[in-house]
Amino acid sequence: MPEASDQQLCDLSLLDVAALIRQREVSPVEVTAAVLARIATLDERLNAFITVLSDQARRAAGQAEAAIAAGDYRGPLHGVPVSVKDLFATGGIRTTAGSRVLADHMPTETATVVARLVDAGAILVGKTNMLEFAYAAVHPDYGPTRNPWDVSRTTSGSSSGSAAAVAAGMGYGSLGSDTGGSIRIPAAYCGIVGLKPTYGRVSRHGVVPVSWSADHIGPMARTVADAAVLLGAIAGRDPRDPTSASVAVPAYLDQLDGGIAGTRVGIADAYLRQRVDAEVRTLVEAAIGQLEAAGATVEEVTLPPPAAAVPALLGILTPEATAYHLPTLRQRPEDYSPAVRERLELGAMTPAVSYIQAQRLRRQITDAMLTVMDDVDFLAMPTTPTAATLLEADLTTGDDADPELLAALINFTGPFDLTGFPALSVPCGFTANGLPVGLQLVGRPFAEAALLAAARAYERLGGWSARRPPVVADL
Amino acid sequence: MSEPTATRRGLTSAQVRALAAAAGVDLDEGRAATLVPQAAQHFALLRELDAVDPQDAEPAGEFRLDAWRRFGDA
Repeated sequence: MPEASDQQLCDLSLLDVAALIRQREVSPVEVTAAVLARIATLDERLNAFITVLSDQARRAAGQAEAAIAAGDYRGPLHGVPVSVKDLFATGGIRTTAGSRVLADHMPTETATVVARLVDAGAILVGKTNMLEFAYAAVHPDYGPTRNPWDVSRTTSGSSSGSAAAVAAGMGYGSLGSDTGGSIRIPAAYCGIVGLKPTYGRVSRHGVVPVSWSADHIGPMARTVADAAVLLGAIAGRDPRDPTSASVAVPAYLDQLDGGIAGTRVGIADAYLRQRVDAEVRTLVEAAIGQLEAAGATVEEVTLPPPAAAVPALLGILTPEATAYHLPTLRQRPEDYSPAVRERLELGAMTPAVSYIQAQRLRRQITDAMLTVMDDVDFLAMPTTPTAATLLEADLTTGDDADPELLAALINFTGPFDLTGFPALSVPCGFTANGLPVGLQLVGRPFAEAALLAAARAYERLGGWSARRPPVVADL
Repeated sequence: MSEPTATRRGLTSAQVRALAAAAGVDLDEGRAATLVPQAAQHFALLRELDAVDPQDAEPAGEFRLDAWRRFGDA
């Protein structure tokens, strides 16, 4: 291959740059330098990073280069620059969770998933911007991340910086967290792939929680295969997370070409045709049509509607979040952004009986969805009801966000945080304004390999992953 | 289904203060008054849970999915 420019290097997929590194056509030092230069060029506009780890990344890249030269190649993440959302504990590196409360927090331990990435040889280039405590509001100390497809628009969140960083080539992948849609929504808005694995598939140890029973950790990447690589590195039982599952982790990459032919795809009226922007619906229906043309059987199913699932999720999430924050909320409430403080205070008022009712509803909805999934392999739907909104209209940046509108934003994502099913957003087209739209595929519990294979099949049909946002094209 | 008392009568700032105080969160009068509309919305959302009869479902108290491994890749 002719020598790639720094810009070309940054825009390669994770697997493509990994192949160049493995073949020693480029070195981790060169790749890391290119990514750090891209961050230096773009991040003033995008605000995707809270902390850039330039020196540490260069050192780690040098070590990776030496190891690979010595024949100690660890696999497709070795020498590849990635980022993580700034709520993953990183020993000796500031971990703010996008908050003033933890502005100076220097963990002594490292989150299991970050340790696993580093063990796989990944180069950590930075900690990404996020909504404060992953709780649906921007803290003014950090400001909003801007969408690489249109910098006047939001990335949404809460894994805002991770999505923007990956979309703009500031690293080849990132880790996010998802409690109501925080991986999948910004992934859809930024035109990348975001995977929320099954609850229990990936350790939460060392991750600042929103809601212990609804938090999920997962990969964000420019292609499905790249997401599969990242998931393979972080998945699996962790004795330090009592909710992590003892379920074997398959070789996701090896199963990626399973295709979609012969599978059964369920679509539900409440998750496709109700409260969805017409342009989004048209693109998602076209994507579903492509799945059908490729040999999938598409059938109507009836799912518990978002109108039941989202209140149940919020009835659980809200008091769980407050329980975690209670000591700080009592002592220094003014350090929270107004919107997060308000939500935490409301959580304190949530009656125990409401929490229990929500947990009863969770069981009922989960059982109903399991029954539906006996008959179909996947569900297909939009990830979000609309494409990215203008920043001034963004629900996550203002102090007066309407809870009902916020609930509507997570209509299609939140139900699968409630039930724990794996769900993935893959780009399925662009609006007339050039904004990406996400197709969400939902799989059976612990069947991420099949989910990734289906998404990969669609990705090949759609061909959207090759597009790059204007901020990159303008370089 | 009957409408809950607080919503029917209109939530007051004193009630909001008392509810927060029960969890050890002190709100001054001004803060409590500010929160009244949001609290009313919050309780309205929680009341939506009542609209769905969970029948004989027990709470998903320990949320682990290992038992679902019949679906798994492994």
